[in-house]
Amino acid sequence: MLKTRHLTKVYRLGGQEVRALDGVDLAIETGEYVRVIGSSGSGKSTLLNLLAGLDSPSDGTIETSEGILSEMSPARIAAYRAEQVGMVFQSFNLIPHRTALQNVELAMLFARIPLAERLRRAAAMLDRLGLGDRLHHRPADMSGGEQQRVAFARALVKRPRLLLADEPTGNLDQQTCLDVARLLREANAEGVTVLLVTHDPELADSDADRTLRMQYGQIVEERRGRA
Amino acid sequence: MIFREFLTIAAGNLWRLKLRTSLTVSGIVIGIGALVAMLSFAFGLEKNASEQFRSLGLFQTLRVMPGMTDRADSTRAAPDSAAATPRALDDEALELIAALDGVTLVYPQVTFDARLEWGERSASVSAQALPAAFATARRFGRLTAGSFYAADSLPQVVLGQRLLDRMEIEADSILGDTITIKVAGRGDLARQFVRQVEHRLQVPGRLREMVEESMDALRFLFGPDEARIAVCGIAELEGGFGFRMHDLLMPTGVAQGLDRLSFSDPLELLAELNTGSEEGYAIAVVTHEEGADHEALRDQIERLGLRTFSFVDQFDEMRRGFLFMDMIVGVVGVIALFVAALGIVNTMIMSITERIREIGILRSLGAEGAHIRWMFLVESGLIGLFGSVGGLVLGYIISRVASIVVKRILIAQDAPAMDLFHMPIYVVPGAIAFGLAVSLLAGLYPATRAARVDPVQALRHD
Repeated sequence: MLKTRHLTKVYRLGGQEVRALDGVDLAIETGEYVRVIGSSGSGKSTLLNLLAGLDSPSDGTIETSEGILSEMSPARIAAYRAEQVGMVFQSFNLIPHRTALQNVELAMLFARIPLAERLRRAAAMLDRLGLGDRLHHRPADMSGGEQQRVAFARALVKRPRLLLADEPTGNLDQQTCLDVARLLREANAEGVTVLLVTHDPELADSDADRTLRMQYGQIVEERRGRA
Repeated sequence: MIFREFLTIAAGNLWRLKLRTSLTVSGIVIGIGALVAMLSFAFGLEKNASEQFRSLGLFQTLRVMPGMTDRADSTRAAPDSAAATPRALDDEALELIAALDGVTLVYPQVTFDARLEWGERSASVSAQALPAAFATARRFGRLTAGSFYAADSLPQVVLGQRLLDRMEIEADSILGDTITIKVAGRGDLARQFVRQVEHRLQVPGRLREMVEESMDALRFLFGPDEARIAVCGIAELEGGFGFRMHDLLMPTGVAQGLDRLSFSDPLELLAELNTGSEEGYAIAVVTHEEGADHEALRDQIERLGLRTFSFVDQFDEMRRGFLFMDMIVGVVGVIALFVAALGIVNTMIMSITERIREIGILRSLGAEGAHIRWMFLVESGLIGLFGSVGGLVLGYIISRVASIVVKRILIAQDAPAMDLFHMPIYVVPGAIAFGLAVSLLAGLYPATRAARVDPVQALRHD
């Protein structure tokens, strides 16, 4: 269960206040697949960063299975991220000088999993995502789709409770978008709570239990049920 | 576990940027190398001085002078001077000193200038009267031919090799032969005085002849001012730090039999002026057993009403000088290292700027700010470690090469060869620890800056 109450994030840009999130109340059930859509600047990515504990809210609370994030120490928030949250980004965010295997095993470093176990699990996850022959290739030697699959492998290898995907198909072709949609569906089917931020029509409503539309930092529309 | 992982990651990052890393490391190498080489030089000087003091037995040696009441100089009087009545340094005083616990040798320091004649050759020499026991109690150098005289009354001398070299005499040819030693004695002084009077008063011819004829009688009045003595040994004589071995060593008894002026050494003259008396000796040298309490013996001698000068004090003065030199050398090395540390700061800041997105990724994967700080600190620590080890090797090479060059120069100048550089074993961990500490300190600011990077901004960074 993930709950936000009156979640607010205000940035100061050039002396002006920008309300990226404006009192968002949200409850996501364990194992739920939630899609967040909205135009650029509507606050989708800010919501994701706050839920991951990468940023702190200006007001309001985020309640996780570990407790209220704002009441947790930075070390506990980091541990929450290391053990329970997987993240996928539009620009993949792979470390360029590390191989696919090294990128994936790195995700388990801060969960304090021994290196041998990390390498074993990373290789298995990459193999499962069809990258068994690309273990020792660097991101620059891979296609966009392959890089995003490595990013998914990195997010899922630590068996997170929550998968946060921020525009994961933004840089991909249509076929690869379908692959990504499949990966999200499979992760959710395995019990992972998925929060997908997208405005990609290819990632159809059919996969999500719920779709939220955001505008000006607020949830303005909510649709329940798969299409 | 995670620290070991950071080490691997840091080593990988440094290896990836080989050129930058090697340039930064070379800064530390030069800094530590300079520090190690300069410290080795300072330690070498101190070690040489200490070894020379030890080999000459100066840590077990005291100079003793007659007592005095109202003068301040580098010598020391009895701690409870009220209880010690100043006394002359005469034979009785020497006997009292010799009877003290731990004393192995006591002898008056008698040095004088003399003229050595052997066949056609002659030279001015600086002579020294030493007891026969000196040869076994103290180090004087190395006998190259013959032996040291066996008794204080034997008319024998040991000549220094340097003197023979100066006179161009082969050791074998003079060893066992008899030489003539002439000293400036009171007879000489009296003759000079009579001649001055003659000259001033313009003594007429016949009277002058009579005076000249009677001059030889002065020899009988004051004793002989020359002696014929056999050369029993040739030695390479050593000395230093105010304890010089003279070119001609003569038994004390034989020297006392010569009519010579009471002083020929400025120290003796000074001591005589200080005491205001010609009674006894100006200076005596006391040697004690190695395990004996130096300070306690010194106190006992001072309680006899005598003054003492300890070579240990001189060594302590020198050590203070060496410490000061170490500090100056250390400061120069630290400046070199400081410049290298700025290189580390620069490298690490560049590295952070280039890897800001990586920092964001690591934070999204669960890294704490402290983890990021450690990762960068480990990198700067590794730079320091490699640099320190390299610097040690460089410093060692510099000191060895310089040592070889200095040795060759010393040998070419006929001076005793010595190793001017010394690297104590504790310099190895010390230099590594110091280089590591400086590098970690230099990396602290960039690492802290990296730890404070906003992960959200970092993930958006191009």
